[in-house]
Amino acid sequence: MTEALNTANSEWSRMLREGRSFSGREKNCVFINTGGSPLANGRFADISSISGLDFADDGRAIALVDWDHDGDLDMWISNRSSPRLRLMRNEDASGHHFVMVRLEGNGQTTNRDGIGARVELKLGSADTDEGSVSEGLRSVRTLRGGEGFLAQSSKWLHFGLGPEQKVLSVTVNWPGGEAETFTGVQADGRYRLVQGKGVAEAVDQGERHLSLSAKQQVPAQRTQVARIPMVDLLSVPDNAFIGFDGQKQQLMDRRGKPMLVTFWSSDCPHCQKELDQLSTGFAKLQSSGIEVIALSIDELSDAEGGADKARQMVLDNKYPFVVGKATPQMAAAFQILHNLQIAIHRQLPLPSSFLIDEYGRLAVIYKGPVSVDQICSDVNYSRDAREKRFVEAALFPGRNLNHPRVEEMAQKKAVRLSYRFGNDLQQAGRPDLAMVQYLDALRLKPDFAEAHYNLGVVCRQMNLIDKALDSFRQATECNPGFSEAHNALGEMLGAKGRLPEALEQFKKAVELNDENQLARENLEKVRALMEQRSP
Amino acid sequence: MKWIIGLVCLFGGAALIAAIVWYLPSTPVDPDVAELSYENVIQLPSQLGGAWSEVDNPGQDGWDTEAFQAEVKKQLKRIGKELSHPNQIAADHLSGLVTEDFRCSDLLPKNFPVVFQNSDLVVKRWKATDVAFSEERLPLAGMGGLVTALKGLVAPFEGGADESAPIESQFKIYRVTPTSDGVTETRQFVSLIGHNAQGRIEQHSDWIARWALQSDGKHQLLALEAVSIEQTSGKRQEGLFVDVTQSVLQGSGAEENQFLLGLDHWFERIQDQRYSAFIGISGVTIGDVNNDGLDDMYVCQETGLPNRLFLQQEDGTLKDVSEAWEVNWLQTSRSSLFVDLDNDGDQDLVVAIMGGVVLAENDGSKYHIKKVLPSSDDTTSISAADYDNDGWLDLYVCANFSNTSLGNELPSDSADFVIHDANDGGSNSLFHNGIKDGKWNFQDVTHDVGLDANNQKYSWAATWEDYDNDGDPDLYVANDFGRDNLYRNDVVDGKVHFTDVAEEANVENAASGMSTSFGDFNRDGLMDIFVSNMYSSAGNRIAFQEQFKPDASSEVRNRMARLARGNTLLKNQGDGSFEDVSGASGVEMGRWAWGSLFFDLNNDGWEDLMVANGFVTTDDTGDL
Repeated sequence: MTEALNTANSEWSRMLREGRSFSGREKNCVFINTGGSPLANGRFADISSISGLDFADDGRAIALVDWDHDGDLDMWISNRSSPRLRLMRNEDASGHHFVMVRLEGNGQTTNRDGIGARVELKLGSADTDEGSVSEGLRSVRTLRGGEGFLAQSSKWLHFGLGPEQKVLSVTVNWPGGEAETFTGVQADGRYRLVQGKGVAEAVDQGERHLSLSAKQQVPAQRTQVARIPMVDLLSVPDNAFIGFDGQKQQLMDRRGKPMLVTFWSSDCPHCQKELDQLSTGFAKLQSSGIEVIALSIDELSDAEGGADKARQMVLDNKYPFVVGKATPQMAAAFQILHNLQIAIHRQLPLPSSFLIDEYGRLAVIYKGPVSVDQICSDVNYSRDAREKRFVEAALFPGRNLNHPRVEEMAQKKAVRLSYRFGNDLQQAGRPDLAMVQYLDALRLKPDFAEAHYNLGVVCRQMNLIDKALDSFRQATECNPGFSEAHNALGEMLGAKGRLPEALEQFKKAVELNDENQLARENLEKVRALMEQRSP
Repeated sequence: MKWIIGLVCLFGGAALIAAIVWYLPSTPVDPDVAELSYENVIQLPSQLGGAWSEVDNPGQDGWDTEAFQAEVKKQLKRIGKELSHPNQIAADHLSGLVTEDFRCSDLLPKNFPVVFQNSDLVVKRWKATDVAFSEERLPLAGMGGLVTALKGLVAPFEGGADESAPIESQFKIYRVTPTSDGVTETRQFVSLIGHNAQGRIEQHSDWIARWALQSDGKHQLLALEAVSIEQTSGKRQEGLFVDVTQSVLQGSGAEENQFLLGLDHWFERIQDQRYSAFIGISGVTIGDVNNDGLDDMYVCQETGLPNRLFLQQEDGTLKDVSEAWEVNWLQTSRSSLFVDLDNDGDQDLVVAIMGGVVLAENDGSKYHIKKVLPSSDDTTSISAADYDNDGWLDLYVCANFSNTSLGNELPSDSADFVIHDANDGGSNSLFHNGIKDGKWNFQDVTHDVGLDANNQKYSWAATWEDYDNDGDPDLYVANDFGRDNLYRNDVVDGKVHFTDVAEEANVENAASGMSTSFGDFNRDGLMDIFVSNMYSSAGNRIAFQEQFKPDASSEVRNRMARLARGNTLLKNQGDGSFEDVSGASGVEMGRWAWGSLFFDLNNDGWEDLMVANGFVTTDDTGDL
């Protein structure tokens, strides 16, 4: 079950991230309370469409407010899809009456906002005497500080009175239980109820000159072209490309200066334009110290004759920069590098370019064409402090929230990014590439036991026994309760012939987790071995 | 000596490289073309289509009824298409749909009673006394009978539907039951939405359909019967609510595009790979920030998009003052509150960011950060209440994912995850307000007051209310993947102690809780509870099948069934317990629900309900 579930779920997650809809285009629901009618048997009626609120926007938060002060509730809605905000004005024309009240606690025994206070209105129709209170319906509302989903509604409490009703009494049950009756509340008024005053204060806003008009919101045009500066700088895993001369070259052999890796294909007009402008601007790129490596993916696609066309393009144009052919691994690696950092795993468009800094870290992703000026102005981007990069990478101007806790969380995110990438590369059978990521993670967080451990694992795979031993030891130092690390350290000590020390580590591993089967077996083996050796 | 290769993924989570399809960049981009084609990017494995893949993979596990439902859904959609234009309904459009001996009932009763009406709308309802299939109630026969029934069904839409505004139909198959050899029964909710000459009209029905297997392996409709219908006719063509956003936002100073483009657009261009970012949840908060008597608004945003503070102007429009008030933070923010934390008469600002709760003091012209309270990483909703009645507002913040998963992967990637009763989510926190002499002291008292009980849920939202009318606020927490919490506030030896009484109060509501609201829906003076939950018709189909998890205990089966059932309305009994009246009150059927609130939309004094829906909508049309 769990396995099937995980498989299904990973699949689900993958499809979502690749831009599939899931429970999409589902409209908001509105149910009207039929409580006033005995025939309806307490059953609400679905009026989603009639309400005009039945958008299929991937609705999220709802907050209520009488925005236009006309006595009925309007609402703000936030959405995942466009438009992401809606102010929906209530066009109620029922002629029903209302009362709005705003509470004010004394600020000593009761919070000033009056949050938690419950207000009860007893209502009667116009011909009801004050004496026959029991005849009228009552309405209770509590002022809450946050309700629904990620939302807080207005602190003006709203009471609909229905037709021809009047307010018989208003009682505020302040938090803590003290009940206070307020006089002076009449239908269709807005009142402030101040704790201890007993008399409602009418709030007269005067006549408002509103500029609200109904109009359908039109989603803005989308484009796939994007410049994505990286806030956290991930080391680009090394990969090979093939020159048009057939020579295989390692990308990271060129580390030491910034480089722009551009993927192109001969059948894409935007790519040709992009390569042309990189040629024209080559001197400028050179003076900024940027090396350009333009890699054709023609051989990787099914298009007929693409490889020949690409070769011809290269011959015809005599590009001043490095040109070559991407290997499937190289192309996939950059797609993965993208997917690892961007929430939506859309297939990269052509052209796509990656600005890599002199330390081999990915600085900026450009989806679609990018100008030479933009590339040159980005060349020093990765040298900026993280906070500055954070602000620079933002989609609209804003500010960094300056606080140590925020820094801590940011660092955690960066560490995790490298660490997880290390995990992935390790699983993909590339301990050499994984090692770079673990070292990055440890540079940011030197006491990260799991990273030390996994660094040990990849070192061991690469036969770097001393380094592995050291890493496992550090893992146990960072987390003395780490059973697997003790076991692995024992194995390294064993491999070095240091059996008594190995024995201690296996013992420790079993002591910490008696279900550590490997450690148990290792413990047996090393004991047997030591017995054999001792006379 | 044996070498171990293991423990590569300490934090759970499927490795990206292992899972990724090594597809290559090959689509040339046309920057002038806004709409992109996703065809051929990834082929959807057919067994997942329409399946409730969160629970199980029906294709793999032999739920052949799921394949069947996909087939009949197509047939129902043919009916839907036919209904879209009442004047054009004709037998030859429907050839092959029904068997020769097809029988059907009237799909709209000839006369059915008005059960509710007000100045805006009229509600009529009919329900068969017995909602099981009955041969007796099928007076119409053959293709001609079907055409008659369909025409009758859409007759109330007369004068409304035209080419520009066809009748919209929606079918939700919620039960599939094989009956006899080759005959399978489906139950489905059928909604028709449109206009007539008077105004908007909507009809919501429950149909029983019987499908007969034909020699070609396909199914034809053998019988069709309506067992209930609710028809609501409005009295105007426009909705009861109209969208005035543009008139208040334009000229606000905030770039309009940021709200006119969906979050998908922004997620494609910002470094933030978390699943929990991807689902796109931004909170909205209303409050009068500058004490001018007009409510203002704060909007939280995901990474890379600055939070926005808008001041309402006298004419109802907005002015973006985020920069001037120094609250245009770029950190991922989920929710916020305007509350007077220091009791000085103005609205301070509380914002839930990843890993903390920001407290900022209002000085009349800007906000000053006073504290960032450390919390779980994956914060969601915040709610304020003075839980100990000391006169100062305290804060409760919810968390969804646990810190280790950090919202990177789906919860099911964790080995300990149990979908119907998950207990490996993030921890919620209660912070006690101890502001004194201008010093802002807040203390995490979650453990001290007992709120650490059952506190590893995937929480989305919490609402405070004194449900037992004993003078102190209690707390309801809506949790995804399992049971909700109802924490009763008791004072024991002069100290506040919360007890999770969800089970004894009958509000466990083990479903996919997304949001919660309190309101006295029946006007008996007691506060009732509404919880929005995911409704999954696929989940309903599967969970109610006999072969669904035959080995599972009845408790597990019930919980799984509950997980897909939909929204919950809990009536306060006044004795400390609640009665689940979701089904009887007709609010169960929602969709992939998020925010919800009680509110009186037409000023008649009765609390109505709104539920926001929809998980992820993209340009892709092949919805799951």
